[in-house]
Amino acid sequence: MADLFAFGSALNPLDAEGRYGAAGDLKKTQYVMQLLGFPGDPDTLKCLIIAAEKGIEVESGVLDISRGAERSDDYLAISPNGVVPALKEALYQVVGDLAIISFIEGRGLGNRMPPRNAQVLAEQDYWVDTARTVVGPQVRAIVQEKVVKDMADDAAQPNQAAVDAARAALAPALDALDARLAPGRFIVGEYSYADVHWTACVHLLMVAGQGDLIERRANLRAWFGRIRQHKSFCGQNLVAYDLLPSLEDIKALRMKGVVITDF
Amino acid sequence: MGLFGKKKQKTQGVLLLRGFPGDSNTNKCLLMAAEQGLRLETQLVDVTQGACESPEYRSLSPFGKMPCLKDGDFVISGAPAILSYIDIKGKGGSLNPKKASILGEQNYWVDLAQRIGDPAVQTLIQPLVPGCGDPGAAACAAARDSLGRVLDQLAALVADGRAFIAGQYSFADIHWTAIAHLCALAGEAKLIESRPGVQAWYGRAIKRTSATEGRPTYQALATLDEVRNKQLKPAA
Repeated sequence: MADLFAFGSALNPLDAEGRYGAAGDLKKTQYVMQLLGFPGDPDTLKCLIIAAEKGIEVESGVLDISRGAERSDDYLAISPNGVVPALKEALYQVVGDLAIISFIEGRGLGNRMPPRNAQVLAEQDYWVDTARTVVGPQVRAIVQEKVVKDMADDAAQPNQAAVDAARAALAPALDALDARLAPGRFIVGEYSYADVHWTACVHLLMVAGQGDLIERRANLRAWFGRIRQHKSFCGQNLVAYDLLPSLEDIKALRMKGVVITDF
Repeated sequence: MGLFGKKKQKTQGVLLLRGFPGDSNTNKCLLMAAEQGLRLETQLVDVTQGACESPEYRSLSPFGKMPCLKDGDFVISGAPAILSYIDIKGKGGSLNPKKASILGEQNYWVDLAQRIGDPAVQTLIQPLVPGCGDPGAAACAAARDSLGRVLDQLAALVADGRAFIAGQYSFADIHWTAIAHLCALAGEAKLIESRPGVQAWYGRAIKRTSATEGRPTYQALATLDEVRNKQLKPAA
């Protein structure tokens, strides 16, 4: 059985040149985290975003779900229910967006991202829930038809009816968020998990050629503009959005990692 | 309140939970309220009559998410948001573990509850609820199978002797207690009883008393009669 986490610096011993410990560097993350996911998967992108926002170094490995790699024995040994993505730090492994985001939050730099006020926290979780259960399935359907389908089969054509149905199902949620967003603010006021979840979904809509869904909604368009320039939540000099994959990256199965230089 | 005391944000009045006794998410909220010593008034949303789709309910919960909570002027819907709200508003400390790895483990099991546990148990409880229709033998068998696979993983997890899913009592136990309870009501107790580790965990969950008031929390969950008669009792 293959070890799917055998990539990047994990191929070398911990005390090898350039790895942690060799030069006595002291970082909060003793080990680089490894993220195993798919560049066209919203849950994978959420984890990449949160790592950048919280100043956590991540090496990314690609799990090619366009060819069903999440159902392989090798991956099921990591994630018994085939939930994507998976994260590893030293001997600790965890899978799924909810678990990975909270783990990175706990290990990361800077203030806590979840709001402390009960109402604002509940609103954040409402918009996270909406992103995961209402928006996410439609985004996946569109990405499947417009991006992933021909990755496994060059002759495959997108099912336009399925795309149209997904677009129609997205409209109420996009309208609701458009109505919710206030000028100059994020979804629940300050930047929160809600923005992380929605950024991944909206980015994939853009990549899949559905940018008109965003462009025609003024508040949503303005929020997305703020997201694209949002500096790391923990004060690092990086913009999480810059790490997200382009259409070409997805097709070529490329995924960036998070590199932190300022400690 | 001392200088370093934790000041709780007061509720704006009586909290009102709209939900359905055969719904796992409604039961999670009732259990969390009991755990956190928060009183909830309740109101039935009869999903069998399409109440989730009514304009009145949609004005409170635009995507028809259930349950829905009202605290004064504040309205929020869906179990994740309501559980977070009650967790903060309640009398006790948060059920969220502080250590990152344990928090990650908790949320992994919460995620599995949402992805696999809830849909499966909603299928299994369906024949019990008048007006819900029969999902059919094949759907019930598939639900049993998917739930059984996750319960096998839970059995392996608790085999290390831990008392609760993430070690300490957490959101993960709230989610899975509601699911296990509805399994039992649906006549599917064998799913629990056939796995001694899960059965032992469930036994501890049933006997749990709230950290805030020392009262049994399990009584907050809907009984078989309440599911059959579509009655939703308040959480005291």
